[in-house]
Amino acid sequence: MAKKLTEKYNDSCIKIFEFIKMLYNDNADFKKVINLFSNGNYDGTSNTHVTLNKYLNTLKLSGIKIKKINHKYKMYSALTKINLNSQDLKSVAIIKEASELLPEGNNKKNIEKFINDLELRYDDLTKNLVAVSHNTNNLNLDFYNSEILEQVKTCEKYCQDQLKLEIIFNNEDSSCVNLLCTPLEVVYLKRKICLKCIGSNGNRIYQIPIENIISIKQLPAVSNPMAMPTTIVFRIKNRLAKNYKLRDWERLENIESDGSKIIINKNEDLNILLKRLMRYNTECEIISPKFFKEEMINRINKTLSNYQ
Amino acid sequence: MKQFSITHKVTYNLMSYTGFKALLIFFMLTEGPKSFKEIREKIALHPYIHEQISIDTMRVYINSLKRIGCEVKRIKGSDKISKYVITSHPFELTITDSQKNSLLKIYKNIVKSMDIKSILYMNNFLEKIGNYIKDQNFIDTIINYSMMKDIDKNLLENLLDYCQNQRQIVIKYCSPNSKEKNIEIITKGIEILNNKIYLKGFGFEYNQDTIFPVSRIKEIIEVKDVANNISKIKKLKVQYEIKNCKFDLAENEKIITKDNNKIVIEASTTNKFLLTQRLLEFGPDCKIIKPNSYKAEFVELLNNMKAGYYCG
Repeated sequence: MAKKLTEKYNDSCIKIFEFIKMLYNDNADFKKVINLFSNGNYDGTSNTHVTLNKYLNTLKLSGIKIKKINHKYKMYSALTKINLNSQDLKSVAIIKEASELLPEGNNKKNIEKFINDLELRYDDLTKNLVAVSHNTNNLNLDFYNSEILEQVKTCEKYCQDQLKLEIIFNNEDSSCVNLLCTPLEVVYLKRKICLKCIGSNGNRIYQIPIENIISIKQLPAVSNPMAMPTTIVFRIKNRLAKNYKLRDWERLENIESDGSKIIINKNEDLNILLKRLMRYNTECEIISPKFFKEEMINRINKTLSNYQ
Repeated sequence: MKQFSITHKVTYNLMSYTGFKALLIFFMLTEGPKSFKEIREKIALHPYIHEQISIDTMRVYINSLKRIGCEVKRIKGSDKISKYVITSHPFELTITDSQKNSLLKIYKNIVKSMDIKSILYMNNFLEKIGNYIKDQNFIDTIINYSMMKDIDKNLLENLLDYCQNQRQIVIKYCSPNSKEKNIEIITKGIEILNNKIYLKGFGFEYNQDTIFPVSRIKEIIEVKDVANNISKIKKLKVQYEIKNCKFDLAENEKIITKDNNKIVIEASTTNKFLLTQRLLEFGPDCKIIKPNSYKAEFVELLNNMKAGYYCG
């Protein structure tokens, strides 16, 4: 039902709040503002500018800071205030820093808008805290040099473009790998940033540390959005079965009569998964696919060969 | 305005009285419920106004606030007095769905590279934002991404404090095997392993270094004034060599020798299980040098793992 707005209202009251709305939307060009206060009849000779000055004074006396810059009014304090402590401000700084790594696009714009809207609403205490805080290098990316951070930005862009890639990178054993793949996302791990992608051949998930990438070529082929990563099935037993916490990319398929659990895993780098499952020793057994089971046996055998 | 800065007197030429009163009422009603009497008094006593307003004038202001998009409600408290309050207005911080998704993307990106304190701060901040925008779903999604699900935030903050000073505490722990029990531990740190948050320390139940998922700690029962001396507890010393030099040294490890191809490390631990897990993860890149007894156990374990695949 439409709101009943037929009651008597005050035009000055409406105008001052409409002006504030324009300021919030960064849409308070002088012409638009003067139009508002002259009801669209400003001819350059009327005394609307006097009226406008009265309203500007009203806002100033109410504690709202406004400045006119290049024929546009800008607001430097908001109607309602938000109080943040120094820990909150550290988080804001981290978000800002992380957004700088994003390629130009909607995500970056959205974050910028959010931060602007938020900062506009800081109360005086928060503003004072901002002035005295030195929140730099919050993301702890100092283990990367600027060249690699540029690569991170490029990889973020590749993920956004959704075109297939040809990547040449150094494997852990220092061998060189040439991979045709679909980029998925940039993954930030502890002291490591990786490009996560899905191989075109076999749909294997790769999480390649950015620093190991030798070259990336974007191919004129669109990524397949329907590409499904390889599914791994494994069984966990005994104490591990009781303690195991499913990852976001895993689901419990079945609980067997002896308490063992069958886990379905999708979307994890298989080399990382292999190392993780190896930790679980005899309490874990890979069921399928066969090639992955063989990779595990091969890894056990190679480890054993160290002692022969 | 220049005149005002000297005299501090407000005239009709200086500002819009109506606009000023409207803003004053807006501020009052966003603070909390106010009766007509309270509003009238505040306006009457305001140094710039000194004016009585009637109930009809007041209604006009309320109608105007509604017209610009404020949700104004009239409520009656236990004192039976009608009060007005603004429950929402167009100047509140809002976040579009698209902005929420971008924030979540950023959060997902960075959460794994942040230490536990920063995660706590970030969660508190986003929770604050979630409360401002009145969106519990946003808060829940953040918590799900952050490994903090099922974890009592206050308990985690206390544990972080105790770890800083390596305090000896007694925790109520919900073990998957033996249900709830009290465990005494010298706290050493909070660590994230495989997307789970763990309390690290020396546990007196088995007299060994141990880790507990924080999600299973129900409460801190006791904080001891002085920690027991555990320096005399016998530790297992294992030397191993590792080929891949890109790895993080654990705090109970030290480098014995290092050349271009391999590093020899000595690990000193009271928890053989945790060390074995670590060495298994290294796979063929790691070879145990000594002691022979541990080496033999490790090889037996590998043989058992292999047998599991052929016999299972």
